[in-house]
Amino acid sequence: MTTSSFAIPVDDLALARARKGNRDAQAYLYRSFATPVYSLAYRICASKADAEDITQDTFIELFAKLHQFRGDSPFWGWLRRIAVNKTLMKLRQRKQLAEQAEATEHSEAAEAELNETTGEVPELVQRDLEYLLGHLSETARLVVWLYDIEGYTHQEIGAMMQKTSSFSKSQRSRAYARLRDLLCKSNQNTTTLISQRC
Amino acid sequence: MQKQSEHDHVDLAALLDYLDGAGSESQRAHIRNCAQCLNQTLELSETRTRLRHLPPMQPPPELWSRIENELDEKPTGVPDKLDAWARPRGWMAVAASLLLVFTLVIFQQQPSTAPALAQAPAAASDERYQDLLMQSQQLENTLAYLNRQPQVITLGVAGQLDEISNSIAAIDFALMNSNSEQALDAQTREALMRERIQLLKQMVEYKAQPFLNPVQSF
Repeated sequence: MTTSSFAIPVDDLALARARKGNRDAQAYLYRSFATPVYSLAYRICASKADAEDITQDTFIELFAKLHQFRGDSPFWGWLRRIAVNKTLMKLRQRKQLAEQAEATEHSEAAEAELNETTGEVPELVQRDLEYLLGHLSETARLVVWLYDIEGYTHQEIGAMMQKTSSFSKSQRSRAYARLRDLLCKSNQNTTTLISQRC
Repeated sequence: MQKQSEHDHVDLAALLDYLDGAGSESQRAHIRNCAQCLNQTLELSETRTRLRHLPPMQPPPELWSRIENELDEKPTGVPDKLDAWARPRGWMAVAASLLLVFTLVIFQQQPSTAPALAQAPAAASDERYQDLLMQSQQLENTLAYLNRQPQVITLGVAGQLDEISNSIAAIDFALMNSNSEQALDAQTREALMRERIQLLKQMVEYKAQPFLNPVQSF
């Protein structure tokens, strides 16, 4: 069971005021949710510039459509869906989603890079997992992040991507297979951590 | 269903299913009893846990300013809607204002009862009118500033503002005619402008009220 970083309670009065365009209330919502929105966008896109654009677009759309929020579901889930949609749009804009679904060129390049940079890959700490995550295909990152971190189901992810739940499931398997391979290679290149996994 | 052989290791998808509490019972039994599969499952679990513990990313501090700028260009707030009775009242305000203007126009055609104002030299009259224009412009600037500030207004206030706005529009209509052939005399122009200033002051008071008595809830 995952607990989304978006799961933040909000003040109903703040929502009402933000709905009317009150800048203080809008700023309050931004302060509350900017980090989860930006984190989601960055982890999936692996680009700070894109993450900034997505965050900006998400909040602009949030404030424009806030009057449509009926309150029959948690606000954070509604906002998160906007952020995910904006992220998907960004990926489509980059016209890489279809190519990256095959998860070949970029990942192979990452593997080649890992092989070539023997000794330069630091020991396995959190930041290195992020480094490796950045070398997965966009589709793989998207599925892993939405499923394992945000708690979406394969059916929901498949629907968002206009694919089947099987597609989401297979992408996740491929993502973990890729991560496992990259982790093994990283471990092999590390002198401080002897891996027994590969 | 085919039984999972003891030596037939499960694939990665099945290991992930196991982590999710899914998968067939035979696969689950195999994983529990196979050191290799169990070890791989633990590795996957560890990777997933580490993914979940990646630190949150902070957006750059200036991002909110960018969003604010875009919000300034495209205001997003939905103002209070006037209810059914407010609109007719708005039109009544226009009618009342037009009546006021009409009355003032008729009044200026009658012998003046304000000799001091009527007999004032034209230059002095123009000077007074310029002062009034300046006051009006200052109030307009204040209103423009207040209008740029997001605020919540009640239905009642929205109705009042609507009425005032319509009255000002009617006065502006009359003042515009002062440049036509049926020009208003200085006295009427001045009276209209004074009325306009009073209305603008009322608008400023209404608009400034939330800032004078803010509701601080967060």
